[in-house]
Amino acid sequence: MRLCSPKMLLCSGLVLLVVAMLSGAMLGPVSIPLSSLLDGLATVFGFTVQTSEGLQRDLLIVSAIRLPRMLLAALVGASLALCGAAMQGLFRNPLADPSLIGVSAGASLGASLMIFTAGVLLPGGTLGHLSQTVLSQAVLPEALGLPLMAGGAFIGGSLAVLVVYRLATGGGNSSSGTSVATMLLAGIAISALAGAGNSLLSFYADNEMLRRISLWQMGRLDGANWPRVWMAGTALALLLAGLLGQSRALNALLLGESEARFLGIDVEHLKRRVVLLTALGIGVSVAVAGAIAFVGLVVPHIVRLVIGPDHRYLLPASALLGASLLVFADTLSRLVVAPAELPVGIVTALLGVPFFFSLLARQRRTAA
Amino acid sequence: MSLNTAAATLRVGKSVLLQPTSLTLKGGEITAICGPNGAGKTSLLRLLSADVRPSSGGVSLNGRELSQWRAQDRAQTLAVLPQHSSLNFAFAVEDVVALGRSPHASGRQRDQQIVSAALAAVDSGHLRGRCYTDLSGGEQQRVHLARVLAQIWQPSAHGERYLLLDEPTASLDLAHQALLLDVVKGFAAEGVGVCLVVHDLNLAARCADRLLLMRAGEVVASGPPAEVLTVAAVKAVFDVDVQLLAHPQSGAPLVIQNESDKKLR
Repeated sequence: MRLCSPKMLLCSGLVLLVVAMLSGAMLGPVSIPLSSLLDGLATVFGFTVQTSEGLQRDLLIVSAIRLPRMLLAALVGASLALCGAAMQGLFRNPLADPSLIGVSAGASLGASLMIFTAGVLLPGGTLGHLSQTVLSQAVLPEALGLPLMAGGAFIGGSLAVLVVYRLATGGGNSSSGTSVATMLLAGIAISALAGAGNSLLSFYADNEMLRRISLWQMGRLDGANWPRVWMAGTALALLLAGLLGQSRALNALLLGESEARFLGIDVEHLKRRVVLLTALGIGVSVAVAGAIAFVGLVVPHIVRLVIGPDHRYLLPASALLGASLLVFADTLSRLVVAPAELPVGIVTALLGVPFFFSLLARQRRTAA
Repeated sequence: MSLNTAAATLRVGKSVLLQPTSLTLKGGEITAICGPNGAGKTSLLRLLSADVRPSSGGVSLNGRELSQWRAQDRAQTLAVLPQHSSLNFAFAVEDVVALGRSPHASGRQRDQQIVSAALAAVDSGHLRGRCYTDLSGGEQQRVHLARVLAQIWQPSAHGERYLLLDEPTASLDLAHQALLLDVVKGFAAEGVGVCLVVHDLNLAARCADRLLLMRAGEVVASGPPAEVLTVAAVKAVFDVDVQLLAHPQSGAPLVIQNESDKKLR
């Protein structure tokens, strides 16, 4: 049943991430040889002093453009995969992906609403103007816009998880576990609501803003900069700190809420923690990179196939592989239509949708 | 030291699932609960296991109100096997059983020993490395039984241990039903108070020190099986006509259902 030992998967995940980061740094409109990267690393750590002009240019490209972008991809990918794994544990169902059950949609609605209210309330700033500056990722308003969007996304995401969880598990008292149909339908309803909210925002937007909004909804990483990296990094650190210690409790929860209680788990506390942390992870991811779908579905599922569902290994391995996957996907999105780029959300959706269909078909077979 | 309900009731909305019930489970004693569907057997078990709070009255474990217990301490003292399990993740069998050790901090090595011993006790040692979701219903049932046994394998620091089983024999074959009774008796001999819900009156009569008959949310008879199981009592509770024999070997009461009148006509 296990294809390899958990430790082996963790090690290969680490290697994969390093390879992904190196190839991400080397590939692009300007390709940078590995030797330059190594020379650059040596310079950064003060072993040698390189003054060649070509090398300086390469280093600038890497440190100013590719490094923050790769770090953001890695952090967001890790957060999404971790949130996906934790949420599937909470719902006791491997189909509970943040983008499928409406959490990402709820988060993006929350973010949009926050921009909307800020636009109405802030003196002097018209709605269009503020949203435009926030969405256009200008440097100065970002200090205000990013935390606002993240806060809104967090609230929207938490509400979405709570509503879907209540509906799909019957308040947690039903012994039959989670209803997949209700869970996915609730996700559709919330996504529709979020769609309406975003349409409302689009209604006030001009052409340029429309394009930006739609790109943002697809999920993209080209707005990467250091403040965003810090924000995503903080969120991931909180997620890791708050979730890794709950692995055994999450394992017990897979038996059902009552059974977990019989095993001495404080189920209410665990649920609250998972809901808040996943909403935080998704909310921040949506705020810094838009709604990137399917990472939270595909990665934990692959990990489960390889090492089984034990959360003690599932959570860290998902984080590592999620980071690697999104860095790879982002590199791919920069290369396929170079010098232009695809939003990375399109790449992950193209990878994820067939995967989701096969999962759904299998669930149907086992249920029949 | 006991697990007992004091005039505990359970209501959901306007419907009464359990009339005021006072019941005391003692360590080392096996109590079987029988009754028709919807008689309140599972409701009573849910009250005893702190899965639900009583609507009125109280439930206490070893002298302390059940809701006052620290969850982990309670889990070391009281293990519950529900009717169904919704686990649908591909754990290895030994990992499922090891979940029963989560309320304990006895160390990995000791836990491994207990997991092996618990699996062996329910004749499932050979399933150890198998994938849980590939097992048959009866095998899964045995794995969960091993899990709850592992949970209270050692004496608790918080008093006598209790084991509550809701229809543990439902999907077991004859040999494993007999094995389950032996395991339960073994635990009782070590001082564990056992309470099980079963549908098979003969099975209950074979193992129980005390038999409870329930109907419509009420305990209508309670006592040693030989006293409780009468033709009139079974007729009153289950609305079926039976004959009562003595087991040729043990002398325990043996309930045989009469051919239904419709067939004879």
